[in-house]
Amino acid sequence: MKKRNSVQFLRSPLVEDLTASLGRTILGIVMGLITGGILIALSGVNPLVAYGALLRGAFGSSDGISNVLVRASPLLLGGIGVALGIKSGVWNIGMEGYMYLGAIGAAIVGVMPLNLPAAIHILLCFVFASAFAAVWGLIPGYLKAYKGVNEVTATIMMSYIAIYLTNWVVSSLPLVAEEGVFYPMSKKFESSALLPILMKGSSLHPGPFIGIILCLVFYFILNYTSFGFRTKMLGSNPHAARYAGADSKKQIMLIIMIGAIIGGLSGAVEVMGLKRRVYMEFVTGVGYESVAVALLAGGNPIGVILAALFFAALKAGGATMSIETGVSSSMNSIIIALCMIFVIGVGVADGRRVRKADTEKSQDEDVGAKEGN
Amino acid sequence: MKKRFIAVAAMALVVVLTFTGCGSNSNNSGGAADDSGSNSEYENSVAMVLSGLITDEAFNQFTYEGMMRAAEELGIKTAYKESVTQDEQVEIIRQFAKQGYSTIIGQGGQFGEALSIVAEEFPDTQFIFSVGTETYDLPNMSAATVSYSHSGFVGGILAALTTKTNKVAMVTGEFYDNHRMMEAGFYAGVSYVNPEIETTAITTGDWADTVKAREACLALIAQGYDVLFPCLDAAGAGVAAAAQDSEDVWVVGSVADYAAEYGAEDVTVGSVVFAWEALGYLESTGELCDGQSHVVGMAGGGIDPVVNMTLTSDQQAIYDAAIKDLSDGKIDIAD
Repeated sequence: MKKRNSVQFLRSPLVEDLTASLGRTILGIVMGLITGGILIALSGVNPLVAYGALLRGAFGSSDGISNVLVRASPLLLGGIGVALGIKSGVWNIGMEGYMYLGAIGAAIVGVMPLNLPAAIHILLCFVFASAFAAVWGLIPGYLKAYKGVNEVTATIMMSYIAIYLTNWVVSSLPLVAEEGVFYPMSKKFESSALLPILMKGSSLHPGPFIGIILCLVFYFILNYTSFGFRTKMLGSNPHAARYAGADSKKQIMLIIMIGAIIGGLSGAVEVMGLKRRVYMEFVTGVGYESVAVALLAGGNPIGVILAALFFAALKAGGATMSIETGVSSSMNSIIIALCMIFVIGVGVADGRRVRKADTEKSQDEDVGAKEGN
Repeated sequence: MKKRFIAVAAMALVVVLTFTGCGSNSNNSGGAADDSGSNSEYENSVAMVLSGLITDEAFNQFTYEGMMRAAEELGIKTAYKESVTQDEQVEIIRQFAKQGYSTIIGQGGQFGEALSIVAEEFPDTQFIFSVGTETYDLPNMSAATVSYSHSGFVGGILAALTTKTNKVAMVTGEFYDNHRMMEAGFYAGVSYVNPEIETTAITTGDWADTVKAREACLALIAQGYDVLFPCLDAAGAGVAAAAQDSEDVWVVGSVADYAAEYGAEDVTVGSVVFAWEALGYLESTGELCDGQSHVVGMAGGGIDPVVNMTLTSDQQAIYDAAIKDLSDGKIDIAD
């Protein structure tokens, strides 16, 4: 009890968030990696060799690091979008759909030979991507806020619609779909609409840095603005928020739409920086992984940066691990899933411990209060 | 309590979705297979990137087996990476190029752009865009595919020889360019036998939905079509089922051997099998690395017709003549 009080003065949000959640998360990840190592050993590969290849693939060269950053880009942007929802108690998990809509929006202006300066063309693509995704987010947002429709169902279903919409756009929308190809794809983005490559001979585009900056921006918004306070209040106690006079319906809709806009940007960055065209099913689950990133981060924007980089490192390093050591096909997903399960498990166990301590503490206080009387 | 339940349920859901989502993003590969015979380790070495699993009993497995046959015969070093997702295409291809593989094959139409990006960076490495025709005007990039129009033509011949009602139909998932070519070939094949036969082609909108395919085919059958020519993935089983549930309706398969793979020997009169193994083999031998677009048709062994019905001697004569004309390039259809 005394110890808990002494921590009180450290309650600057940054220090608190980092120390409290980071410890649990790292413990979970280490347990996940150990279990994954056992499975790798069972499959007949020395886990140390495999993890060595994984580390080398992710961090061993400037290429590796650029691969990690490129893969982190959609996870960072998607992750912060979902994290914002988690903070306000809304499960806005339709990132996959927002990414497709953002990509469609970007493609509609991006493939047009508008003869604009690059900066303006790119900006125009981002504006269209945001607008398309915002409209897409408005639907589940409105349904959740004003009609009480479960947002988990609504956002996931919207994602499926988005997938098929994208298939239609890239195979038959005039002016956008490429003609005469064996595999449906959009026309190539104009060179003025492509994001610059920051490192020659790699795919490193500005996406990951945009993502990191957005995470930092939302960290400050959440902790130092009234908007952020309303959001967190809504998340921790919606009834109290309503009682305190916050317009919780508007807030919910806003949060879902902001998440959608960031998701849309994420999709736009992916096609303008990496793919150069929109393909059907080009997201392949990254939207759902970004939900996992946000969960791993516990909804904390700084945590999203770390979690996204961790996921990206596992994915990029995992590819090298497979190519070099022949570790079996599903091992990478298994390791990621194990880490997640352990992080969540450790979180639950630790949460129970903290709650127990709290109950004891309040009982102490009750006793103290009675004695005082 | 309720809130916690929802949170836990949502997490469980996310874990499930992440799994299904990244089911395809997992990585496998076998590293080096063969490295004997060459002076330099990477001379004539081949690396293949595939979008699916090399154990899928279909396209991915067969093209991979083709590469392995070439590796065995020629003693070249090979490597592969299966289940390559869209976001990692460039990264994986670049990694193979950096390692020094002399030929890199992108197995599937979705790899075109990624191959061209890396091909520009590595002018001394050969790239093959498989099941595509685009070479992006790069001297070190070639394209190869089996001939969809040839397969349509052979399917048309078999369908026309089978029909009693003089109405035959092609069934596909969606019309991409190659399926348009297949459709044109199909019509050419049918009218080669009998110009009076009525033809149509429909799409079901889904390559794997067997129920949709079956319903669509039953509708065709109700209109009097008695030979179905499917070009589908797993949904092909639905076409076979529709024929099995109707009287006197027959199937001419394509891509896979319908009699063997869909258990439809009772209704299958023949199949135009795509020789993916032969394509993978050809690509791995280096013969196709010339910066051109190759369409491997009847003559090159890109398609492999299987006839299950017993042809009368007249029919056999027509069939043989058609195949010969096709191989000799006398049939006026696009490759």
